[in-house]
Amino acid sequence: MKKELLIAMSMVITVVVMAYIATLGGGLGPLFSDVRPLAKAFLSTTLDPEKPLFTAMSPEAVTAIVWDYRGLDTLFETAVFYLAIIGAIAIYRDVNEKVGLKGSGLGLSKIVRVVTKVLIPINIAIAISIALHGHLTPGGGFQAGAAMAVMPMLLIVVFSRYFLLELKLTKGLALAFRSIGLTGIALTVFLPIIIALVNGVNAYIMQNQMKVNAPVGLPAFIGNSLISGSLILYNVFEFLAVTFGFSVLFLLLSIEEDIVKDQMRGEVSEH
Amino acid sequence: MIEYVMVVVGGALLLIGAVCDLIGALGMNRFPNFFVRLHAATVGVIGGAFYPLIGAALIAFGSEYLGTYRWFVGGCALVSAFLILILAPAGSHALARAAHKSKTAVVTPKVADHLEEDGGVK
Amino acid sequence: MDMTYLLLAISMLFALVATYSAIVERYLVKAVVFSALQSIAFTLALYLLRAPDIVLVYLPITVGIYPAAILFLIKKSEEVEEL
Repeated sequence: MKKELLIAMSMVITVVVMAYIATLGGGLGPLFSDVRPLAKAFLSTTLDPEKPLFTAMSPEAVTAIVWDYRGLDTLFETAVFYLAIIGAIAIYRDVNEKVGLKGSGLGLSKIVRVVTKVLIPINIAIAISIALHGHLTPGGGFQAGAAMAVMPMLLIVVFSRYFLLELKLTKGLALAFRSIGLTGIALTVFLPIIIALVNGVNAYIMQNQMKVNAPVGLPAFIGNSLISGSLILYNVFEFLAVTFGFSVLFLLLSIEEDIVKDQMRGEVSEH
Repeated sequence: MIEYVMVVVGGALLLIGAVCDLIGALGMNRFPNFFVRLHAATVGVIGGAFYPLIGAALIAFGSEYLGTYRWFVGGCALVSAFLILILAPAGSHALARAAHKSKTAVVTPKVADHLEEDGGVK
Repeated sequence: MDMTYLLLAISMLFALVATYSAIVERYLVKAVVFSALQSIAFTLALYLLRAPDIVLVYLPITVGIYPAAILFLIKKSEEVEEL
């Protein structure tokens, strides 16, 4: 009882102190009252064809900051996420997910299955729309990948994990698609440099539109539709990588514990 | 005229939703065991979320001062209502089935349990 | 404007209660449910703070993926926290 009181008191004190710092302490200032100079600078340059050296050619300032102005930050954040997934894969390296394969008759009842089948196309459409509109509206690659990754989890819970294996979504295939996504991100990072080397001019890593001394810019339009140069490429490849990274995680986590332990013990006894 | 009727009908649906929410909350607090409480929760979801969303859509369609945007608001409400209509019963069905299968909840006000007579959930 | 502050305060208070319940709860499945409730309150707060990008990533991660991963882990280990 005393411990619970301590937890409650510490949480209340933390919240009060944070609220004080954020409002009266002058930390963040009042909400929504005015736009600060840094935000003004980003907002005025994010979609402005008359400032070709500063613009990202994307109306969505958040995506422009995440993948263009502060691109390297996002690159290393993504690297942290994939290192975590690589850790999970390394722990399960000896486990074959096809052992103990049962038919697809498992899972929840027919009512839930039918409802899930209705839900899956909606989920896919929403995720792809978030990914492809990432440079126009709120959203982007990671958001779309997280929305899409709900689908394999739903399939595992409702239809059992053997259904995914019958759909041929095995660990190897998911890893291959994840690798395609990561390779795409890496290629997009070096794409301006490759173009610049061919043309014999300078370029920066993760460059999107042209900069001073680096006249190579990726095309901002295809026909009449705005694609914002590298932003749509980053979003699509990040979508692939996040979707299949989470799929690998769920495929591995959903293997029954006794099967995992049996296989790991077998591996130990062989040595 | 038709707009006025739509707004009035939508307000009535919102009222029904509020009453259903109240009934569902009372049931969740007062009912004795899992299955009956699940029934109260479903009343709260279908009556308290589906009807108000339909009502909100009707009110949005009837509010001409919103201009073109009323079709977006109403359409979003209708799609959400459809999703809740198909998802909530499936969810409560899965919960009830799992509770019956794992025998964690006792079926106490029991007149007939056909699922058990047929040999339980397979 | 005032309504925004009011809803923000309510959602953050709800998040506080949910966090407290998640910390002191000994049955881990219940704690995961409390944690998901806290995330829903945070999602509402982030939406009110006009951060739709964060809302879009917060919703599937904290309502779908994070509880699922934690539930898999609970299934693989223990259901009641030992004191």
